[in-house]
Amino acid sequence: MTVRKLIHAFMEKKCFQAVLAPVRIPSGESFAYELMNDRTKIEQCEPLPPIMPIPGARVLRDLTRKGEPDFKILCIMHPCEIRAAVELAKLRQVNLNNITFMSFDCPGVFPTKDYILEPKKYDTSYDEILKTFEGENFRVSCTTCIHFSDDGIMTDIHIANLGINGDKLLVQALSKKGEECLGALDLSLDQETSNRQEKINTVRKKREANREKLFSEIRPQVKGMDNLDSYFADCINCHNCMRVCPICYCRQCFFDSSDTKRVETDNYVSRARKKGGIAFPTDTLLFHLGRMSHMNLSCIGCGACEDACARDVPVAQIFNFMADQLQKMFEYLPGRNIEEKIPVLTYTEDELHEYEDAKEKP
Amino acid sequence: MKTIKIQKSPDRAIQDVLRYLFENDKIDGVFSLIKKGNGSHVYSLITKKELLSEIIPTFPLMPANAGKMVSQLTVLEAVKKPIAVVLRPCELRALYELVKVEQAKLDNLLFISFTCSGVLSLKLKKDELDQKIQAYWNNIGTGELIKGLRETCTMCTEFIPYNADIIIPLIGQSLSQETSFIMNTEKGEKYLSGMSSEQSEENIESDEIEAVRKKRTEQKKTVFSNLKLKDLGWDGMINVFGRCINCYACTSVCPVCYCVLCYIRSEEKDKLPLSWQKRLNKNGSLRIPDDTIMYHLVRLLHVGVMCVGCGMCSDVCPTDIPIASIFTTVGEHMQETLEYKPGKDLEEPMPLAVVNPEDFEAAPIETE
Repeated sequence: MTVRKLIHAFMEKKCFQAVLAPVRIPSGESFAYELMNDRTKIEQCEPLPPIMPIPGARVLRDLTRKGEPDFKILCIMHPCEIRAAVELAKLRQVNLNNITFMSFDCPGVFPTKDYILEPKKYDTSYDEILKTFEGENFRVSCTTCIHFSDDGIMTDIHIANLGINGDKLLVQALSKKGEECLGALDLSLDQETSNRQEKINTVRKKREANREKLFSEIRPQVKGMDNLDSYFADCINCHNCMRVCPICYCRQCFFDSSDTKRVETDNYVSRARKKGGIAFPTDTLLFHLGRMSHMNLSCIGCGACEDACARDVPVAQIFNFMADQLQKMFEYLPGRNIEEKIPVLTYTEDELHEYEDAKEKP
Repeated sequence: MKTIKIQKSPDRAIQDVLRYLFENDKIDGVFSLIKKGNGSHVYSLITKKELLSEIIPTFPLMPANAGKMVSQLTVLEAVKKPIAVVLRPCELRALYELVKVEQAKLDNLLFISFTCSGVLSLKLKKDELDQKIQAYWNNIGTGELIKGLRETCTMCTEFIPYNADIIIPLIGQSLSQETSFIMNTEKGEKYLSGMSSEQSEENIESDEIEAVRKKRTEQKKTVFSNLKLKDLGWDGMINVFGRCINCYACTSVCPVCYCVLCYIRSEEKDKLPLSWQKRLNKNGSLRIPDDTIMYHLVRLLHVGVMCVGCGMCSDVCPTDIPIASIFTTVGEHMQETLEYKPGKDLEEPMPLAVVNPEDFEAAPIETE
């Protein structure tokens, strides 16, 4: 059975009235999310695309920000996209009523810029990569992602492809919604093979090692203002990272608003006088740090920011590095559970004393 | 025109002139491209003359359109004390357009510019950039269109900064240790008077300039015809803009796209569930985010007539859509139809701000 056939079966049983999934664009070199109820169109969808040009959570935000859809939608997305959507639901930017998620084991995606140039080169091996996870040239964020399967994700239906051989499809129901849908299909549910769990563990170990290595490389690069300034030296302040970020949902960022972009000339001149000069655009580093403090607890490490950076600043890497520490600090995992509140919303006066006057550990 | 000559390379000579202006209290600050200690190239407003050694005004990189940056500086009020602004011709033209739409004020600004050989693409990696720099300067005499230049620069014919107060001829100059400062306006003369440098008379136009203009006009024809815009149609546009990821970077870096919040990101653009459902039932499928082609066409309609062809939009596009070439091509057609040159004359009203009933009769409508 293929994923497409499974979707078809769901539609036959009227489990859903529409499907939201990636579709290859007519010119062939990229993918876009489409909401579909036309059967022929649905049959053309590509549930497991090798790139993620636009995070699905952002698509779901556009679709449901003004209210829940009146019909049931099956959303097929990468694990990180679903986790981002759950975070957006907590922030009331996405409405999950009538939405059912279908996720799959994700080997990672390729940088969009690379894929667009030579789609065929990447396409040929991807079917195999989906089963083996053996591949190269992924987004850096993907190589350090440890939530690539059904663990730590609030999904409904999960397709297991890692370690599954042949044409068999291992489908798991991970919520009541998921169980109902699968129940409607009269399928005999298979038991997960031990081989699969082994493979998951191997991949996780590898990713954890990648993570540790990358983070230890980044740490000295971002320590102190001078280093941070160098890290973002090539930034031209286009704010692409923010606009493609699935979590950054403000319609207008403070750094694009009149409050920062329309101020008196004297303000700039007096700031220039303090140090002898002021860079234009202004506040480039402050933008990144401000954005980080706002969204980093919910950062799911999709890497869309780095993918869209006009200057190849490794912006996702520093955001992942910071998110790792911040989320551990609050014992918070974004996208795990909709009931789990974002820590900034649960502020109490008596907390985090161990971090007061914190000094860097040797 | 009155000219002074300084026996130094362009950037050093510009530093000397600015130092003179600083020391004689003729200016209070300098706005120029600088290279910071961390290696970044960025426009800056400098108020301390000791920092002049960091400016690199002719370095062929445009991290932002300086017109847009000066607009940020002067959008609410004019600067109170004189500031010398060193920028490229297209940046000055963009600034002129921004003044017309009340987004910038020119009072107390002294403009220094140069005949422009274009800039290198922001997409070049650091080592690629280092490699191209030498080739760039080697070819500045002939105006050879080297690889790595922005596509819009290779077809730019408005490379003389006709509105600048002081013009430095770079095109056609061998990389000598002599730099000329042509006083293009009375203001320019006033500021430079008193400088004890070699005086002479020079013209901006030259055979070399004409040769470069010819070369670029040819290149423009090639780019225009390769785009095949007329054959594009709806399907063609889907092919061109299909890979757009709706990051709207083209808007955010465009010097003449000045809205604080674009309609495409506004609340009016959000759709109610019923509206999505209607569209879905009508079409059987719909792409989200929606209205991508509409976004590009509307932006083209809004800014086409003001487009100065700086090429920032293409340089920041993560999916390499040739936006700048499309906008320059269509923009020029619009500008020709309306007999308008963006950035040329402050007194010339923007066509979109003037409505004459006769315009509608005069507009040539092409039919298949």
